[in-house]
Amino acid sequence: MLDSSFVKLDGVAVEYGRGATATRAVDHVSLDVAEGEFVALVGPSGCGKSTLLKLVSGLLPPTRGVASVDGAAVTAPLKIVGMAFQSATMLPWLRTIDNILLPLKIVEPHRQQFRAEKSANLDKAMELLRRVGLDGFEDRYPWELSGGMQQRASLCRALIHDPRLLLLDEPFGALDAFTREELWQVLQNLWFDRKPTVLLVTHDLREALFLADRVIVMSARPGVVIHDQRVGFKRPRSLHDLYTGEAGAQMEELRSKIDHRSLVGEETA
Amino acid sequence: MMADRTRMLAPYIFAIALFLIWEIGTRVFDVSVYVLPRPSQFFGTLYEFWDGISFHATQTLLTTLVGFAIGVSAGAVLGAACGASRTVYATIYPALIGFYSIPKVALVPIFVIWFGSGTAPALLTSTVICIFPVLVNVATGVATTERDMEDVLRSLGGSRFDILRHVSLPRSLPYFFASLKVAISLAFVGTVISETVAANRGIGTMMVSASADFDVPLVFAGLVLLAAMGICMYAAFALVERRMVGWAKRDVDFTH
Repeated sequence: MLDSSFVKLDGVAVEYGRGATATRAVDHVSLDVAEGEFVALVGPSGCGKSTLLKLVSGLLPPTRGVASVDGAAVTAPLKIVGMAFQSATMLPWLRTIDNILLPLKIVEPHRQQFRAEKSANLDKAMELLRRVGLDGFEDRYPWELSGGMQQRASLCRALIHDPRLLLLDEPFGALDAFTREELWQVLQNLWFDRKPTVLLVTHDLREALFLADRVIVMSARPGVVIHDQRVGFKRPRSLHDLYTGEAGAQMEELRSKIDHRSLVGEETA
Repeated sequence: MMADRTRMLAPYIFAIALFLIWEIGTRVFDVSVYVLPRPSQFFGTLYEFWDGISFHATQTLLTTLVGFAIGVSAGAVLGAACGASRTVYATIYPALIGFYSIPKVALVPIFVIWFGSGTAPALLTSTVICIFPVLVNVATGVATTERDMEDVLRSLGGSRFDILRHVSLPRSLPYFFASLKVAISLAFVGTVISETVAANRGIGTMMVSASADFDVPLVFAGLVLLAAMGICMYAAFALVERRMVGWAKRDVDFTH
């Protein structure tokens, strides 16, 4: 294929419901993401950011248009995708380590070799736990962990099968500010390790600036792309960078492009 | 610590107190043995005729346990199917409700016609009586699985069977265990009902012939024995439940 983009949305629209009561969640969204790129999607609640992730993951078919990943149209969930959601959705009957190993029991080709590679898998999971600062908690049940710890575990689970595409749906949205900032750094480090392509949905502009190569701003429902900004500053980034120098200008630009009315949308128009 | 100990002993003290009040009351008011025998009388009977009674008790217990096991298995499988598939649910659920609305006593004569009197109708009655509570609970547990949890597996390309196996079924285990505690009591009811109608052994049979002989203490001995077996089985399942699904109550003891 001539097209170099890894994730491609081509004029997609999604409607929930049918006929007169149908709600259009997103409309005419076209987007190209290169392999290894970290893209943040920001926008007001209900603008269809999560819908876009579901499209790309194959959990939801588009009403119109095509979503494709790695050159092929997405028609069903892909095994190269790892996902983390706003709620950590750990399974309460499994210990943390078994929660993290779960994708390997589902995704081909790992599931065939799960027993054979038990110790290698375990090592891998333990290494991930170490990377997110959860070593020593592997035998705890998720409900014994704090919200931030559960979210760390959820990142590990999203990464255990080395996905080429990581889809993050407001993974830090429910956390307090300090935990969130810490997890930005954790996520940045994890991304550096493997350089998966990342689509991150967030409504925190600082989070988007800290983590992403590109920030895409969407309008209120039906969501359309209203701004696409490259975040040029150096990596690895520190929290210090976020409050000094270039980041300030970037934030300024991002803010100015976000027309307040377009964010609030038709509800108050 | 003190509170824990008190709570441990409280049910025993309560049971003993109950029988003491009963004993004193029947003595003070001089109640006839044909109306309400004293606990000392029927516990005495229990002790004196233990050999004969235990023969019937074993019969009832085994019949109940086998019927229960079959009923619970059938209920769990049907429940999982109903919970996992709307089509299955819509197809068989109305028929199941209809079936469950039939008083199980009314089935006993039919079972007797088919299999003759004895163990078979008792076993079948306890089986059919167990199916429904287990079915309804497991179906509820499976059907109410959170979409988020399913999506974790769906986004990985997990099949419906994967979701059932890794998410819905483990999630429905607390419902399953809750239903076991109901089902075991019902299973005893099913067995005894059938035994009173058509059998020549079992506590039900024993109680019917005892009442025909006006041996009221023996009738009460049978009742007490049934209650005791019910409590023991209930306790056993409560223990297994704690072991298996402590996570559902976020039970700290479960984790160690």
